[in-house]
Amino acid sequence: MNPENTIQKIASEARLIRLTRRISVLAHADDPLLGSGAGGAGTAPTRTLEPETDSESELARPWNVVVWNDPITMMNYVVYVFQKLFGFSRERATQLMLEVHQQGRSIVATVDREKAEHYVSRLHGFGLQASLEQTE
Amino acid sequence: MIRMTKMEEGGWTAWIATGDTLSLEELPDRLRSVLESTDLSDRVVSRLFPQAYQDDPEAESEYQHLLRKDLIKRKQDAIETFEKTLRASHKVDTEVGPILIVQLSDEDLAMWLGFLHDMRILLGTHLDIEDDDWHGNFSPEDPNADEWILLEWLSYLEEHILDALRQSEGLGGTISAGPDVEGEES
Repeated sequence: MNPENTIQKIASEARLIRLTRRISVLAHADDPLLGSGAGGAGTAPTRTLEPETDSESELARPWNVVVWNDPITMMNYVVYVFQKLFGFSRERATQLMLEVHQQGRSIVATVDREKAEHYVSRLHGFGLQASLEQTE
Repeated sequence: MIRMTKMEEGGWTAWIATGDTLSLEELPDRLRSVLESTDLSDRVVSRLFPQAYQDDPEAESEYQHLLRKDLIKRKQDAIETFEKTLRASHKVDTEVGPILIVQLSDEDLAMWLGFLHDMRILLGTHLDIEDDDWHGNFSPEDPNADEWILLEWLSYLEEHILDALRQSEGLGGTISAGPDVEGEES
């Protein structure tokens, strides 16, 4: 099997486990803020469903893939990785590399969590300092 | 001096003047010992295995649990390719010192690139590099002068490997002064 598919599959399974755990934690939280009616139109106003709605909206927020500056890593190397991994033109890849270099970090992709984790793992595979964070 | 010659049948030949003191064969063991280290507080270890989730220890722990083994394997494969291709290389003595002649497929180039990058991270971390202007910025009296020279030299080698790989992958070369790359007659 293609190693990339394997990584993606593993990442996806990890996400499911996390999701299940998060929903179960939320479902048992006795939070007064989660009063009846918070589920919105068309949603059954029961306490067990409301937290799911909350976690769904949390999940809907995309994730940023962030690359951090590393003075040891060569600039040309970063450009190469950006071109290869994201299919950016050389100009776009150079622009993002300079952003990393000058500002200390750059958001190179904003995608769903699964994809963001996949990209971060590939960036780590290339030895770049990268992390993912959910958008506000 | 390093020259890369593209072969008609595919792949590249690297001509590497190593001088009398540089031993590429000694590098893999230095990196390997870090990969085998379980000391998570080791700065090189944390540089080679960065955090994916900086503010979520639980998610980070799951990420490391699922992906760290793959990452170690990837780095070990690169080390092995580096060693294997070096073992198959030829050394010739010339008037400018020994030259190593190494045959590299495109896949080998990618592995060399990964190895050289990790090796540079290891050296640079030990040398406490924190600013971008470190190139050439060391004193010959520095007790780590040899390590600085090695780092500069590996950067030079990485540039050439990267340039060859970019050409093989149709991404265009990066070294503007062409004499060191394809088409050069040695």
